[in-house]
Amino acid sequence: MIKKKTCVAMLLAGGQGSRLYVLTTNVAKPAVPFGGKYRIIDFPLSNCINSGIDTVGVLTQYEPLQLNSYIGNGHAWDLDRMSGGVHILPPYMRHKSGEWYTGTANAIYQNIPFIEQYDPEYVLILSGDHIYRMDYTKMIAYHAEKNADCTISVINVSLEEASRFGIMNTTSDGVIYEFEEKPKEPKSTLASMGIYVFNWEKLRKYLEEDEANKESSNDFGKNIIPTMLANGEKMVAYEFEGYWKDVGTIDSLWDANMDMLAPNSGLNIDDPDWRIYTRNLALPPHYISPEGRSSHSMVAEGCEIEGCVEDSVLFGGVKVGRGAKVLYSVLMNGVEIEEGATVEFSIIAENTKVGKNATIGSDEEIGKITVLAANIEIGDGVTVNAGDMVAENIGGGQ
Amino acid sequence: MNDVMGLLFAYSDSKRMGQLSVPRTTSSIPFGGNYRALDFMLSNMVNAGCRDVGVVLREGYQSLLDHLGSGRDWDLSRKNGGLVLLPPFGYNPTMENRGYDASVKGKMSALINNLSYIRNTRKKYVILGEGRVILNIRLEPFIDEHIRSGADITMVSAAPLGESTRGIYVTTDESSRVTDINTYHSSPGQLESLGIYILERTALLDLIDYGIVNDMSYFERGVLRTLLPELHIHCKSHHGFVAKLQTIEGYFNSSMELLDRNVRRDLFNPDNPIYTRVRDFVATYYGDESDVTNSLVADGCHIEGKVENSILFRGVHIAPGAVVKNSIVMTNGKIGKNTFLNYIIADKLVTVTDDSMLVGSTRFPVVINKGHTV
Repeated sequence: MIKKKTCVAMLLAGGQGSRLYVLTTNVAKPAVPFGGKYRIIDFPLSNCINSGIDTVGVLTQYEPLQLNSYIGNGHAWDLDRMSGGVHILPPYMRHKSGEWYTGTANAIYQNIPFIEQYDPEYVLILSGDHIYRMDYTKMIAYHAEKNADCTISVINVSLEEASRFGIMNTTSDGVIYEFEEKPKEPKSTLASMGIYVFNWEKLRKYLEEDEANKESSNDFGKNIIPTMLANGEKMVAYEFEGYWKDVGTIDSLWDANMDMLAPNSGLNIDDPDWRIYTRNLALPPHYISPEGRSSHSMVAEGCEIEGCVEDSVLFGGVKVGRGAKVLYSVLMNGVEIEEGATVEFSIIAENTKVGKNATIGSDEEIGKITVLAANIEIGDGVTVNAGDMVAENIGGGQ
Repeated sequence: MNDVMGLLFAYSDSKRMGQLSVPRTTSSIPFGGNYRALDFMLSNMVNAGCRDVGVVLREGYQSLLDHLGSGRDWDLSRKNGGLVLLPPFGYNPTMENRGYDASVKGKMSALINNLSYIRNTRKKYVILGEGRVILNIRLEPFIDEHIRSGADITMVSAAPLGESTRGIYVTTDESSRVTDINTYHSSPGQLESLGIYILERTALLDLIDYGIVNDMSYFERGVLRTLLPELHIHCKSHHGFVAKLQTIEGYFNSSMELLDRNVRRDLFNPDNPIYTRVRDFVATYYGDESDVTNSLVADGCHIEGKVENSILFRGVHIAPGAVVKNSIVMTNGKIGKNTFLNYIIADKLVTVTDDSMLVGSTRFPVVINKGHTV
């Protein structure tokens, strides 16, 4: 028997993340590694369990293989439950038809039967693109207290940044009267974080109506929210204070990783009361040799450091050879930097090998991040210019 | 190999582990930054295909229960079988019912006490192991050789581990058959048993029966030694790293061996991974002024000071100006500002207050008790 749940979370994890280029060739954006031990999706999943939400649907579509095997039965997040737990929800064939998820709202629409099983009061809509720690219970309590139909979590951004976000214009008591997508002249600085709480009865009605409308692109931001607003439903903004970052671009992904190293960035994930859970690899502690150096960096288990690492984030099992230098870079699981190579301002994806004395990126053009895709080899002595994206092997001696 | 079960003896019998064995049994002593001693043998058994592992407990086992949980982290949380914690043996009703001495001494008593588990776990082969023996061993070739040789028991041995250890030593003939077993001191040319035995489960049941009938408490120097003329014990050596936790000094030296690349490659061989309890710490943070060389560092540390030739377990904080040399700092240790540590073993949750100086020596590393503030 399935027990009634107060709140069911639906996590939109089907996006390609095309602005992460070679990093998402074979994986969905939520499965992109972050911060030495994590993948982006660890953040919303951990926030859910830490908030006491034990029923989470993960909507997958683009390259789901890694995401599926990563999530497994949800044990890593304590989401393997008798009732509820984490469920992977890909699109599926129905009796008469079947289709891909055509938009964020359509993805939820297609999973109405999943949500109905739990007969929830509220549905929490999340996305797998953001790094943040948030207690959703506070937002849901606010939603209930305001007697709202929909609550949208917002964060105060600077006026310059505001034109890059969906901006909520609110009255003094937090009621939203207008929603503007990327306004040229923003009236407010409250940016939508893409986190919504809906009364389920209400949302279901709008999803069904939206589905019937052939003109709609079945998207929360473009269709559902504006329609509800136009119909005079009670929509309120819940202001979130704390670290929140969209890591949908190479620059923001690099920035957020660097924020792990900055005590003042507000991204403190070393909090025993709000752990970010992840699927752990069985690796031994890392080792720094007599010649090795590491400063202002994060280093995960299984690394072997014989070179110099500064201002960088090293995932599990990374090897940095003698005389190699790694500066302002993010090296994902199993990357090997051979002797004498230099890596600066770069993101190197899993298991890629950089040959001896190769040069990856440079510090001359700060802000130009060099990216190497997963599972490739860069030959000895090769130079990869700042800002380049490399998807295939480059042989040595060129 | 699926038709094999493990039986892991995880009770303490070393009085010489000093303060490290006060809060816990020897098998539960932290080792190598991430692990407890028994993680190694437990992982070896799992990697050899054991889906059933019984862990025999006696005293000081609270920390082991916390560590092992359901066995999930070793992939031993199974619908049927899996990890089974075998209740403490002390007083022995089986023996008393049959009219024998019911007090408990050695491994034989442990086996007798868990007779029903061994009877009911219907696997063809059994691997016996000890939690305090730290090594990475692929047991499948040993099982294969056991089957091929037609021996009653295959014993895994190594060259004697050193003067400070007391063990079970064997003499073998040219076909590697054991011809003599003695304890305490080895004679030249002898091999030391690593406490790992492979045999058929029914053969083990017969040996247990023999132990009951003859009122024997000890396995090696009791039952095996007595039965040597008729029992074919085959001896096969392991050549990699082995540490057997018996003394503080031995513990310290074995730990420091992990700073050698070849030892790490052997003990942490990724093809035969060592599993341990998952703790969800963040990666280790190195501050601007940190200076760490020749050290093994687990996740969740926060390092602002100087660390040399040392092992840091998970969640250790090293404050600015601290100097930690030739030391072992266990989980969640806090080393204060401007401190100096040399040849120190700081047990879990130790706090070293600012400006302290603590110095031991190679032959006498100083242990700071679990949870203490100095």
